[in-house]
Amino acid sequence: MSVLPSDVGVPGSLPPGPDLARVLIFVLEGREYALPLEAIVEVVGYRKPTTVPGAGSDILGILPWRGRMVTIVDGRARLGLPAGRDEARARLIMLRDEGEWMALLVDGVSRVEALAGGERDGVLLLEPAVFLQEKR
Amino acid sequence: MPEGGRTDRERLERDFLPEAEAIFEALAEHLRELEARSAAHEVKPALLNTIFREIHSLKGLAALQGLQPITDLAHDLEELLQRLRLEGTGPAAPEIDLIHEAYDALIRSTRRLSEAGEPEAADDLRRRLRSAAREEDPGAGPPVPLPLDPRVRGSLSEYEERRLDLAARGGCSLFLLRLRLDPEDFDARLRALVRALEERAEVIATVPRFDDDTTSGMLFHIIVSGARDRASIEAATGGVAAEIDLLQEGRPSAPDGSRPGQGEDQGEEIRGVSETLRVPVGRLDELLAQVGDLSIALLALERAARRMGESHPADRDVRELVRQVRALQPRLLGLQRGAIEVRLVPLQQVFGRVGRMVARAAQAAGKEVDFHALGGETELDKAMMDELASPLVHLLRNALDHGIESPDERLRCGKQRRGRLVLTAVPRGRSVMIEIIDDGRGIDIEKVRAVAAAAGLYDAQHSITPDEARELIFAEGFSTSGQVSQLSGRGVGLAIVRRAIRRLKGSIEVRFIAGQGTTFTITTPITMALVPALIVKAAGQRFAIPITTIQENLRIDRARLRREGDRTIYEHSRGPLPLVRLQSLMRCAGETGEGEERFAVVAGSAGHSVGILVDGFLGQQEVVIKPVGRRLRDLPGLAGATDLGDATAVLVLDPEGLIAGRSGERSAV
Repeated sequence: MSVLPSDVGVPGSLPPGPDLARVLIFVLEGREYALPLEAIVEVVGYRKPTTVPGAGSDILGILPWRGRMVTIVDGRARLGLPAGRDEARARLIMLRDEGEWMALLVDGVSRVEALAGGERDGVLLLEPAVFLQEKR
Repeated sequence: MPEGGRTDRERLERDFLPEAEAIFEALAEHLRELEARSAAHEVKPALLNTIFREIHSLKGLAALQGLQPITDLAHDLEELLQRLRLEGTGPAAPEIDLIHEAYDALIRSTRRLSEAGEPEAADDLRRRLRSAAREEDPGAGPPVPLPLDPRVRGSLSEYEERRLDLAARGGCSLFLLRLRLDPEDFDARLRALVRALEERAEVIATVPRFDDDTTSGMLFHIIVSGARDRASIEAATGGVAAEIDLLQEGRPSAPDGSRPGQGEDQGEEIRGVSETLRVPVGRLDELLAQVGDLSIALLALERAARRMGESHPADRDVRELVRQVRALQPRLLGLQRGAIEVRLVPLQQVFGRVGRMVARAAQAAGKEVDFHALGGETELDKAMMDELASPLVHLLRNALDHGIESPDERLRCGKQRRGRLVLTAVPRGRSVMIEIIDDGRGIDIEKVRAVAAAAGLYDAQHSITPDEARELIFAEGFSTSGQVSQLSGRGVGLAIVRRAIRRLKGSIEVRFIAGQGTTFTITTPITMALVPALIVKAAGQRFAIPITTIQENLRIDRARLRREGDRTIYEHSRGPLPLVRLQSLMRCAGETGEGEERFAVVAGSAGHSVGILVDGFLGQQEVVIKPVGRRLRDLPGLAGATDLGDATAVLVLDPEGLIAGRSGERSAV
């Protein structure tokens, strides 16, 4: 999963590829990012999670969702962006990876788009599995 | 005083009365069924189990509120039910009357509470309950003589022996199968055979025999009751060569009261089918998850209905709604328990495997050991049992390798040549207590100290107390020391054992007497699907603590607090108890003022008990523990999370892990 284009410096961004078609575009600190649609289960409004003492600094807490306990990763903290959120507009993107569920907190969700050929108009395509790992 | 009185009263009204009412409601129905069944001479073990558990829950609730008379009465009733449950025969009329009388007394006491009175004393009733609980089983007598090898009969568990006796008395047919299986795949073949037999009859026991010639396979004796004839057993063996002996001819009809085998000719079709129904465990998990989610939805509904009732107290429809919603709860609980019950399997499955292992390992270690496994009929969740097998094997191997001495050494110490190794299981309400007892050399605390010092776990200058030794042998790193092989006491890999037990939300303790033996005691809930937990409040947040990990709940008497350096010590009646705030253990934000807490949960392992201070107890309830994701699951002291019905995650704590995490940190500083 160490596919970091060194010029971008964003953890989890993917190199462009022809097979990545439909993506969800979301916003963090005024910039657009994308996640492949197939990894996304649902997008829900922000709800306050229960904080877990001792968890990594990018983990906001956990939330019960559809009978599971979902770990909420703060997108801003994960990408090293300044803290701050507008709870009315913020969204939780529910992701699934190898049977594990996680949610990524983002400033807002823009649209679904076919991203042919990878990065376009400054949209960064992210690898979902990276959010399941410790922040380094 | 009036102030404190009022809050106690409020707590009583909020926490105890509604739940007690729900239990009484369910009990009324179950007692009616018990009476009807016993009038019809029917026995339904699951019903007695249900009633037993309901009384047990009531006892727990009452104890939490400090309602001693109700606790005591419930306890004595529980003992009587325990006896009936283990006997497996239905209660007789005088016992039913006694149960009803106790039930009425419990209701009266509870009603008095709601009318602000004191619970009534029930000394006479309690005396009668206690004497009934001790009574001998009227059906018991000398065992019915059968043409059965005494060695086979001698190796039956108490429960198997009883079932054999009941079947013999009840006039069921009894067959003995003797067969040899290849050691390579005997496990699978034996299971298949037992399953096939169970479709036709009741398998009372499968007894492996080791003292025969083991080169040509393993010999098993299987006792089967209630089969129609020899041919039906031959059909079940499906090509496995077996010698079949008739131990007793079946009588055409078995008398009432006994519990005959569930054969095809016993007329209990429904039970016969359910006992042989094979269902993938995954499907049961799914069912349980659905029921769990339903119960959470119901809790939310109940809360909404109650709020509605508070804002519209005069509306009759609203009152009716609240009542109906409340009435759903015991039913759903019944459904949930049913879903859990189908996952329970007798511990015998593990005990049997373990018994074979002990025989082999003893031989390999050059030890002579009499091994006894008792209480194999105790039931446990299938998944829990699979997890328990390996720690049990570990402990038994330790006992063989390090506990029990060689025959020569034993003789020199004035002991019997053959060592004794006992594995027991006892149901304790919603938990199981398993003990591994040996009469070996115990643990040499000086050697523990030497090994611990070498591993850097202990200051070699200090002398060591038995309590410290009991803690050290479980310490991480103790087992990986290079000196392990020289340690002739215990301590090999016990950290792994404790970790496995903690994963099951259980606890493990050790007691020993130098030169006389060692006892390991494991307590685990019977299922992890639904674990009784205490809900506490600290740092403005709720936490759930599984009851099995708690030694005691304390209401802090401030007069008994004293400072000792930077520690707070509580003068407990059993000795000084260090206190630590949950908030600081968890490193929660949002400090409250020092010394605000009035309650403590006592946890920890032997000799290392710690009182964990919390702001309040919010009640006891059964929770579904859900795993947390891979980024959180290794946090010390966090066992998982649960949803109490308000779509919020509540962290489930492992207090021992919390305390251990903290002391580890301290010694590192």
